[in-house]
Order: sequence, then C-alpha cells, then structure tokens
Amino acid sequence: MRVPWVSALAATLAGAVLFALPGIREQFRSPGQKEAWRRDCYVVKPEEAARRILQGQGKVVLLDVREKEEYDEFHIPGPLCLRITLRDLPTADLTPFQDADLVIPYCLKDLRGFEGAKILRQRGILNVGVFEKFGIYSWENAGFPTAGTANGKSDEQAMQELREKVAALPASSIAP
Amino acid sequence: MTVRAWRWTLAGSTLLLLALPLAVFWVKTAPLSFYFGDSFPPGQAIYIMMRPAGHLAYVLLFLQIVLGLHGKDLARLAGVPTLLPLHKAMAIPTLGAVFAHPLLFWWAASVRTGHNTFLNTFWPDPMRNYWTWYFFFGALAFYGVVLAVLAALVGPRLLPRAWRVIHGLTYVSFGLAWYHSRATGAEVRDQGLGVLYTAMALMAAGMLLRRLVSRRD
Repeated sequence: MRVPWVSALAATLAGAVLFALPGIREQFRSPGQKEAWRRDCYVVKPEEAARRILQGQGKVVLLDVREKEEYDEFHIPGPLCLRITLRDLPTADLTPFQDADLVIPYCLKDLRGFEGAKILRQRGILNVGVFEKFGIYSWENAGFPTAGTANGKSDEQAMQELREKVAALPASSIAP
Repeated sequence: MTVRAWRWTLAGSTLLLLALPLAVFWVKTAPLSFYFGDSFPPGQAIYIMMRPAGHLAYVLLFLQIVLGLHGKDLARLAGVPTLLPLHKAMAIPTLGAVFAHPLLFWWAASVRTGHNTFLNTFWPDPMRNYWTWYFFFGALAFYGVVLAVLAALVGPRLLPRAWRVIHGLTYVSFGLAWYHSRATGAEVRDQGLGVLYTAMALMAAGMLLRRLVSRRD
C-alpha cells in the first residue's frame, strides 16, 4: 500500500484555501464595505460610554461576555456592567436590555464581543454597540480603571476613580 | 462482524467524529453567510474560521493517535495489510490544521488591533492573564506537534533511537490541546462537546497506558 501523498496534499491545500477565503475576501473589501458594519452596530468611545453611564444620559448597559474567571480578574466597574458569557447569551434572559438605549457587549478585543452583539441583534435587541478600538483593552487604553483580582481594586474603588477620570475629561474627548 | 461491516463502521465513526464539532460550530455561528457579507468589523471572519480549524486539529490529532497506537488492530479489522500509509498521509492535513488554527488567530487579532500580535499568539506570557495562560498551553501543544512530525520525517535517519520518544510528544500535545480547548474553545466550553473532547482525551490516555503496559510485559 502506497502513501497517498498527492491526495493528502491536495486535500490540505483545498482546506487551506477554504479556511483562508473569508479572510482574503475581508482584506480585499473596498473602504466603503469595510465601514459598512457601522450601519448595524454603534461604535462608541469608552469616554462617551462612561460619561453617559455616570451622568445617567439614557440607559447604557455594558455586557461582559467573557468567562467568570476572566471577569473576576479584571472588569469594567459599575452597576450597569452585567456579565453573561457568550455561550449563555442565546438563551439568557434579556429583560435588563429591553429598555436599554444602548447595549455594549465587550470582551478583550471584541472578537467575542461582536459575536455577542450579533446574537443580541438576532434576539431583537437592536441598540447594540462596540467600543471604538474594541474591547476592554480600549477602555484601559482610554485610561479608565478596571476592578478585579489583577489590580486588587474593588468595584467601589474603581468606580470612584472612574468618576474622577470622567470629571477631568476635556469636553472635546467625549464629543460623540 | 464482517470485514465490510468493520470498514463501514470505522469510516462512519471517523466521519462522525469530524462532523460533530463542525456541526456544533455551524449551529452556534449560524448563519455562516453573515461572514461573507460586510456587516462585521475587521478580523471577525478570520476569527470565525479559526474556530473550526481548531476543531479539525484536535480531531485529526486524535485520529492520528488512534492510528499510531492501534493501526495494526484496525488494519486487521478492515482487512488491509497496514494502515501506516494512511497514518503518514494524514500527517499533512493534521499539521495543516494545527498550523491554520494559530495562524488564523494571529491574522484576526492583528487585523483587529492594528498591530502585530505574533508574540502574543506564538509565545504568550502565561502569567499575564487567564486567557494568555491557556493560550500558552495551546502554543506548547503546537510546538510539540511540529517537533513530533519533524521527528517522524527526519528522526529515523538522524536519531534512530530517540525519534520515537520525540514523536511521542504527540500525546503530550494532545493533552495540552485538550487543556487549552476546555478554557478557550467557544464550542468546547459547552457541555456536550466538552464531554466529547474529554472522552477523547481519556481514550487517548487509556490507549497510551495500555501500550506502555503491554511493552513492559
């Protein structure tokens, strides 16, 4: 019995093309096509989300779709930051989001966060958004605090710090 | 059971094992046509394809372990002289899937963040956070498989005695891949597929143990 090298190589190459196809197509989208997703999903600066939450401008809900261990490690503080893992989202109770003006599901860089936004839209929650520059990393890059075991900050401490940071923001940085 | 029935059973089980995780992925990600449109941010379609690549890598690795440890038994059941050529040929798609999984993640994360995430993908700092801890074991599994395949390719000439030991890194890698998938796999974290993957890992461990014990005897 001979080793079917050619068949194995052909199958592997065909698989490689199949797996790379969506990515290759994505890379060759026109600038207009690349921005088209913003029609269905709000893109919100972390500064804007924080300001709206703290100043009570509409109901903005942050939704952490990561695992519990990740959440415990570090998360965005605040009473309007909920946690439902991505795998629970298709069957989760969406009552807290029904009257929300904006729901922002997030993870680290929103690869899962955007999947969360997609599921929410499929389930009828249309006011969904993602952080500009994506995920909790964009929140941290904006200089905002997180709470959790990684830095030892409690939600209350991080909230206090967040209030001070938002109060110190120049008006231009939170323009929509 | 006749040889013909055994052949159908073996082929059917293999196809089922390959199809099950992909079916779970399909259902959880539906509709897949979404990722051929324009309504997603940069890197999302690449990230989505990274997931089935991981499933394929895991299942193919498992099949390679079964063929490696029980190739002679399966060949006898299927009525063929040997399945070694199949084991050798399947190394190519297995290695392809093992490479595709991190490469697609590297691509997706780089496109998404706008900076090169090569180090975070291929040598993540395990102490940075929960995610990178499990990534690190995925990376170790990747290098283990690469070394195991290299050992089989050039080992018999360069290291006539040691190459089998290095080739045995496949088992270690499979265990590490299971550990990696349990925490990071979007579909594996679900009960059903999680149980299946754990059962596969236990089966592989059992088969290896049986082989080691029978050799000692």
